[in-house]
Amino acid sequence: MRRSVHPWLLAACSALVVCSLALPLSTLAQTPVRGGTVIVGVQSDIPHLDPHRSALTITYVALSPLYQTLVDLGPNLELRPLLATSWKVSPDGLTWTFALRRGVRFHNGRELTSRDVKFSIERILNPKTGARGRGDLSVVDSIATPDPSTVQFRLKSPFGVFPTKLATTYQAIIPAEAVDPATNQVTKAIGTGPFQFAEWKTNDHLALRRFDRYWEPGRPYLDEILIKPIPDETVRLTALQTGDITLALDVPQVRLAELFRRPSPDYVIRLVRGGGGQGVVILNTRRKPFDNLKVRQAVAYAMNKRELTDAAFRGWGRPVNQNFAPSSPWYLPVKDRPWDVAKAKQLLAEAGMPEGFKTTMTVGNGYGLPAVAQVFQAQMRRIGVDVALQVYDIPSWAKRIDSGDFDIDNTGYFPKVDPDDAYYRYLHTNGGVWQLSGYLHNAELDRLLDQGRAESDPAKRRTIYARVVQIVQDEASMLIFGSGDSAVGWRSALRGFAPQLIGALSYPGGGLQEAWLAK
Amino acid sequence: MKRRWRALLRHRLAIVGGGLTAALVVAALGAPLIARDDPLGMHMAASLEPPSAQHWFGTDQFGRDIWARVVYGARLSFGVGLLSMLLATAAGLPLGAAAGYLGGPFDALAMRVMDAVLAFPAILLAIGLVAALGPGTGSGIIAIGIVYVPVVARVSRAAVLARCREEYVDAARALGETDWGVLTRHVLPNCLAPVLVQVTVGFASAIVIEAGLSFLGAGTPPPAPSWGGMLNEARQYMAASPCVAVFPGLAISIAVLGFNLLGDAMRDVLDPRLRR
Amino acid sequence: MIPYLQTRLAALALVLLLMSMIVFSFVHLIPGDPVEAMLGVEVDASTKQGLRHALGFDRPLAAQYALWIGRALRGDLGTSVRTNQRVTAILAEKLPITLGLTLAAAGVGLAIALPAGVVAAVRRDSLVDLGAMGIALAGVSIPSFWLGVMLILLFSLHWRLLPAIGYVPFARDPLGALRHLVLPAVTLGLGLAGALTRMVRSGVLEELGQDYVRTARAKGLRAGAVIARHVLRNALLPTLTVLGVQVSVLLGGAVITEQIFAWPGVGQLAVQAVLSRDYPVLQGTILVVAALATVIQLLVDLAYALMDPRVRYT
Repeated sequence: MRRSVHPWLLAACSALVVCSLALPLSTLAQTPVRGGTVIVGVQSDIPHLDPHRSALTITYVALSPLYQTLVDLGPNLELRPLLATSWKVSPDGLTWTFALRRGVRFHNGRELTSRDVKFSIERILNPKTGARGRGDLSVVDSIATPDPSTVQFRLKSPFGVFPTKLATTYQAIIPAEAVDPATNQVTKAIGTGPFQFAEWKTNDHLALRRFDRYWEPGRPYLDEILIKPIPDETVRLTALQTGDITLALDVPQVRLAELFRRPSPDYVIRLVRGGGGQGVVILNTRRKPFDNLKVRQAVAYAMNKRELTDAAFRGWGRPVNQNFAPSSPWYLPVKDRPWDVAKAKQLLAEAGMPEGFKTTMTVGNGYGLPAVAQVFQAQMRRIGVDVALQVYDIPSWAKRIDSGDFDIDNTGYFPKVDPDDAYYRYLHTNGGVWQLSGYLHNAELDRLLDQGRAESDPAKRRTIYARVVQIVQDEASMLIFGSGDSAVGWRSALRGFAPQLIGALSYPGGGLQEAWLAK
Repeated sequence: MKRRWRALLRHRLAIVGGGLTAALVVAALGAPLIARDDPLGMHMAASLEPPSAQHWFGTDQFGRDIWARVVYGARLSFGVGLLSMLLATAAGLPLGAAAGYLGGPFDALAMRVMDAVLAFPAILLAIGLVAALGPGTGSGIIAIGIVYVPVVARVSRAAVLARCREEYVDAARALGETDWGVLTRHVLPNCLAPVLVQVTVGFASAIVIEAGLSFLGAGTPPPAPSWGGMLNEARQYMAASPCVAVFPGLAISIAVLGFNLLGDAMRDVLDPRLRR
Repeated sequence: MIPYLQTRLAALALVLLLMSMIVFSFVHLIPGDPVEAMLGVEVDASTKQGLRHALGFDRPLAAQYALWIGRALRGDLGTSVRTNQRVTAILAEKLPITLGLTLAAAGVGLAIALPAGVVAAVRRDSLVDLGAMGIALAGVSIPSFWLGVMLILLFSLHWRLLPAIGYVPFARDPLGALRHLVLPAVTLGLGLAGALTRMVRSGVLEELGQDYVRTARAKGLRAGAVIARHVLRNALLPTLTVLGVQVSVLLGGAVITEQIFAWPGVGQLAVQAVLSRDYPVLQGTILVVAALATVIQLLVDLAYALMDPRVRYT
């Protein structure tokens, strides 16, 4: 029945429509049944079971059935209650009070209290932990626990969208007994999620078992989840087609056209609009000749965003000029710069380099970055700019980017929840990863980003961030060129599953805790 | 009759090896003439096309001509083989010769270090060296050279040891030649044959290691047409378009086969002990 | 024999110590550290520095080496920076997987090389010989990473005969384990088969020319019996030596083969450890693998000495 909806039609709809179509059609068709094992094919293995100490997407994806956060993101990243049932902010905007859900148990049987929240957030804030989420929470001044089911965050400055910063697995709530106090290492994987840890064989599989005392009544349906790293995307797709796995994340984009043309009764392929995040080329304004605005603008005019987007997302993306997919409510109407090689040459001449120049591009070897770099290099050759690619493995690359040791860099940004998330860290001089905008220095930007952070009225924030997007485009150092889609596939027997924009396997109201296997 | 047939067989393998190697050299030197297209020229609209009159081997994911890239890849592979073997010989030959000639503690220590290097799986050592040296074909060449130093050193040492026992060396010494003179004038010239054979076979290893490094993404950076790099990029597209994976792989195999055959033939001709 | 063994063992100890120094300095030469690998480009510098300090990677290298080698001598290879598991425990889990693959590959290699080498030698200079040698050379010349990719393309994606990737423990599912073993073992074993075929052929050829073979033939023994009873035993000695040398090559080949077929063995562990700069795992893995190859080499030499009375040691 679900297959009667033509895939091309689905592809044309937004993720929002896709998911709302998929859910009722599949869940209403039959009543859910208990039991069964779902095998999930993912791109890489988790590095460890610590939800805080990792910046890898796979940590967020694969550990989402295990750990939960105070608030949660729905399929389209809308904020929803999770371990906190409600929250409110004081009139001065500095104190946020969260009411905790009652009767939530950790996998070791103990009940969740506000002390666990305090412990977890303080662990993230401890610089020695090396937590991915520390920068996001740097605005927190202190945490109070007036009673076991209330947590109060005292902020250093007002922050209108503070709850969004508590919503990813990187900010998971774990109990103190999961952590060795001497080494600060997670020794036991204990969370509050619908599935509990069973076994982890590195590079082979992560096994999660149904948690019988999970707080949501009747959930989950499945007995077991096996998460298997299958790095080769072709092989991962084949495993889905042959039924060796039940659910495949990151279905190769290069095969999507063919898959949608010839739908199979055995499996479903679902496009996730904007799930591929945004691609960006960064010009280092501290290096010559990119300290010259005209040179940066010349490069920007010479960039064919369509080609770059195709290279990055293999035909499943759209050119953009900001850090959101066109399907996002935060995609703001700011007119894009056209592709204009003549204009680019003219700007170069005005900058005193009519013959072009030689420069280098520091490329990370992974995430499809070399493909984009090659296309960019070919485009720059058209205006006489000779770009030498220097490809480093990911840690060497990260070290160079961190220390600002690059002329040009390209990278990808994850799908974003909120404009503060999308711009502050890159563009604010104190954002933490300022190098990822090429150290773009603009006094107005700092002020706008601070305003956007303090403001909670969406309309006013739209005005503020539209101005941010305009400045970023004019300054031409952080050249966001395209937003891409990702795709997820699952066997037809798996019902009730809805993919989330940033790939969490499990989240209330969707994901694997709502999913069940038809007999 | 039988003898002639055997000679012919040997001869044939040598001819095949020489022919394949010559083809590689011709492709390497004459790439601009043979390639028919720009190996870096992108045509995104014409990507992943099957072989045709215009694109003999089809096109890759950026619409680049695979024939042109394979031909230019020969240039890269040959260059890597040549330079890395020169490096390995420049370091390994003196080291091995000195160890063999001097003997004693220097020999023991040098050879134990060589053993230690040799005990690492070559590809892993090369990956680490490239990571340490930074990206680029140059790093790959140095890494492969270093990996191959112990091999050349061992062969040189064995050859020097064997020659030192010969009478003409004693004779030269008796005539008052210095150590240096004996080594350079009498011993080394007679050691070159086995080293040359080893280096020819090493060419094949160098091509495989370079391709392996690029296959793992640690070799020649894109967009330079490296056979291993092409194969690495091809993995994503090979289900949709097998050409991208088939031709670079064939090129590697043929080049390696050529050097192996040539090495075998040279061993037969140059090494009198194996000549029967 | 005993003094020889003592010399060899002393040399082994020296090689291992040198190796540990090479491994250590070389691993730390690589730019970028575990913290960069773990936290990527989107985490600020002060968070990274905090973790670096907590893990002890800001201490002088000599001090780090002393600490590591001191523990290693007591059998403690440290703890993975990445997974927080003990390196010895990781190796205990991964080594059998790789050794299984290596053994299977050696099996494939011998299964091809013995008959092919013997037939090629007996029917020397015939078309059979030419064919066998051609295949052997092709086996040596086809790089394993291409062969593996082609085998997946044909047997898994095209014909759907065998699983493309993955590892199944024999205890869990014997048939599934074998099915998953076929492609990687062939990928890794074919190159070995090429090298061994040539060894077997030349070994058999050499023995066939010996007087005792002519004597045996003159006594009326059938050619097959002569080969089975006398020639093969003597011809296998050099083959054994090659097999010993090839162990290190096989373990190296396993690095790429495991990468292609997603086998959770030592090879993948090592590559991942390089990419994540997991110093303890990388150091431990390389040291153990290199030591293993060296020890196997020693055992092969000893076996050679025992089997061949012509070899004497001083």
